Amino acid sequence: MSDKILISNNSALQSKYGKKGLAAVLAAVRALVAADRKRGLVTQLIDISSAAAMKKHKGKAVTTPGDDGECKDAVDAIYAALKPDFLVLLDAPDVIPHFKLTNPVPKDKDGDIPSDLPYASDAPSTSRDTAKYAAVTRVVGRLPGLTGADNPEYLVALLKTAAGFKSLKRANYMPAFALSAAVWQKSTALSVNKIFGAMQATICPPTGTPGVQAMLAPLSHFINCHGAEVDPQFYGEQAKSYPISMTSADVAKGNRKNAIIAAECCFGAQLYDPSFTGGKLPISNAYLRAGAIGYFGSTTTAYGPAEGNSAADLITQYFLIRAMQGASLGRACLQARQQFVMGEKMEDPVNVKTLAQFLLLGDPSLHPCLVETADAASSATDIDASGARKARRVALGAFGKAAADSSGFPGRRIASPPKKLHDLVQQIASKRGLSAKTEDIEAFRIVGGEDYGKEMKAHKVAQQVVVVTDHHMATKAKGAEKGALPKTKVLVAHAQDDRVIKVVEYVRR
Amino acid sequence: MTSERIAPGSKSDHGGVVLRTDSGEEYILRRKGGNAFSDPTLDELVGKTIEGSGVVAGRTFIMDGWTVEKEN
Repeated sequence: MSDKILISNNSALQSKYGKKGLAAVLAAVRALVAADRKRGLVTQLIDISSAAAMKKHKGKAVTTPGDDGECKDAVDAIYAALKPDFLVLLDAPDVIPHFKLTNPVPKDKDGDIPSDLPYASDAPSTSRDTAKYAAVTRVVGRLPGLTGADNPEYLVALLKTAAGFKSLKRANYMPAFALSAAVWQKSTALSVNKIFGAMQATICPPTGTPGVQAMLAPLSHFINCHGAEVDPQFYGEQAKSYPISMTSADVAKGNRKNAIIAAECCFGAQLYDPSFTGGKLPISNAYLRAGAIGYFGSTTTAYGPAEGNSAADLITQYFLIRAMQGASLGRACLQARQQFVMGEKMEDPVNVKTLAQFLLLGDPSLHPCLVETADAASSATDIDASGARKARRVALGAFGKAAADSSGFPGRRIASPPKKLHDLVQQIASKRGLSAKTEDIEAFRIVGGEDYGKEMKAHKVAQQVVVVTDHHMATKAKGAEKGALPKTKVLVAHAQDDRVIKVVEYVRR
Repeated sequence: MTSERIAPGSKSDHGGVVLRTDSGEEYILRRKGGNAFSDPTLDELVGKTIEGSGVVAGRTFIMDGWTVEKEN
């Protein structure tokens, strides 16, 4: 019985790295399997491009490596047959593709969301709707090579990092590095205090590249900066200025091995081909090359509120808090997703996107730090660690399903929202300073979650969510540069039977 | 070239320069190695027609060179 499965497409690996390259990867995998055995884990690689290997698990071989549906079906077959405690997607999306989910916030023009969420859910691959995969029950992480590379050296190095890692003490992860865009420092302070206790985040501006290099030594990193598509840089913001806060080169020079990172930044975990940026690695890849063991970030445009915490703030907090409480990186990712589904209003399309876009890069079975309570120490010799882990998986599987069943999700778009509700939301938006024209207002019916749907029916209520996007452009002050500055707000109004019951605002940050 | 909002309403909502091609496709423009959120050099191109070279990655055109076409 295997505890941990490496999902590999050997055919795609050979196409990418050549025959010798594949052999080098498989040798590194064997070393990881041996290291895991010493850690009490039975690890197995399964080649999803092999018909014989897949037949053993009542699945079909992946014949088109880029076909995310085929790949998801293969992972589902393996999971159903073996119920492993950890699933590891081996290599970048050009070998094991992200699963493309429909963007629930299309006004940001992101297109589909490249996601690993569906691999963590038992729901079949028949839908592109994130809500269908909101019952998150599996522990999944990705060990990404470099997208587009022809040399396996990077992936081999990551496998070696995973094989060589030994859990540290929680105290080793307590000195933290937190970096925030100046305009978000209040929100970041809330997050940082929840994760690490009292500490000050580094603010950009004034601090930024390259000075930030000297600050990267702590083993826990929390980053709340701007990010952009296909960009090896993060950015701060203050007074309409966007200085570069950190780069992949800063990470390469300053980061220490064994670090764990949660980055809220837009595109902070996008695994783009470094040839697009003159060989400069994505910041996530740079961290892993520098010896980091886990990176939690977003593949696309991420969201947060004007003040306080929501969306990206929360899911990244949940990940770090769990990882520092002794969870494996993969369980921390699973519980972050579950906590998010259970605690947030999933009727909000922004929350649905947040669930879809955040993923774990790194070996999910690694525990950054171990639980160090006296109780844990005294019972360590009496407890069957593997059995305890499998019992946790049962509980987490049930919890993941319950969280999704008891949540509402945005359903079909309402072509013509009821006039009373439309006008009421327009008034609320106006009162809050949003200039909302009719074309900027979209409404969606709320659907269950099995239990949520039953309760709506039992109570004979209909729920809606109304999303307002303000497109106001503020011209620059006289004498300033040419052009216009965006002044954007998104308002989400939750309604029941055409009465507004909750309003959430997301603003330009 | 136009000036537009990128990722409206998100954490990284910002003004950017967008290239609209003759065939109607739109790309967020960035200079290779440039600042994705603020680039006065690109701001100067707004309203002009250019011919650029570089790579298209997703919705972004990362440009390593360009020439501004003369207005007729």
